Amino acid sequence: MPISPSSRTGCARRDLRKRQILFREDDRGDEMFIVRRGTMLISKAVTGKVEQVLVRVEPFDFFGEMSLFDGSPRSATAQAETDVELLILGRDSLQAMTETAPHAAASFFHAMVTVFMDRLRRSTQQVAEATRWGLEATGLDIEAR
Amino acid sequence: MQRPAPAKFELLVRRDDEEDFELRQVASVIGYLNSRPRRIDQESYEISELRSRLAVAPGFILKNKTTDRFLLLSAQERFLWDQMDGATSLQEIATAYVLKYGEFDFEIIPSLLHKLQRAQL
Repeated sequence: MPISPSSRTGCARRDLRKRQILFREDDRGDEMFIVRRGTMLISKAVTGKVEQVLVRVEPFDFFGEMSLFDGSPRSATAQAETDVELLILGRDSLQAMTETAPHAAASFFHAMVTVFMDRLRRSTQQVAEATRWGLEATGLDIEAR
Repeated sequence: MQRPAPAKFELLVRRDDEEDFELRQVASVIGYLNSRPRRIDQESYEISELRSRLAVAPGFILKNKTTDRFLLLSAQERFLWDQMDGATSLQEIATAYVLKYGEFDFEIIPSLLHKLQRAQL
């Protein structure tokens, strides 16, 4: 479910040019981002200069929320695939929204949970796909064993 | 049941300019062609020619000394077995096969690999 933040949240705006890196894996951060326009690539280092593309973030979807909630370093790199317009939601903005517009905040969190569930399903699917890739690439015939 | 399309990874490969990159889709078949099968240690198997007046084509008996399992190999399979040194890729093995026999049987390598896996060879 896409997230459509209210203008009352006081989100800051940020524009990225195509290919601009917003943050890298292991960077510190306490903001999440909502894509208003364009596409973001989220990727995770695999080896050397090779990263696996985890997801493309399209307009009205969000990313970077893990660091916002638990203060952990960024778990992946976020880079603009096209020219991108972002809304930035920091801890203070989230707190302000919860206090000044609790109904909107509840809807926002509900939408986030829905997106989390969707991502969890997608991650599970990705693990299964990675396993299938490995079996196919090695020619392992498990069924025949 | 129809087989699913080969699994693919989407990879982002960075160039020297940190922001520049190339996106590549890598199908599992690429991994398969680049895999380097390695037969078990030389001390763990025996291979000998099958001598029989009834045999129309040369054959070989491959024995896993640890499990006491046997496999019957054709001369072509014996050739492929000899290539499986852990350094030669399946693509290179297939090329060597074509150069030796002048033809290619698409099933022979996967079928031999399955036989060898089942016999833990």
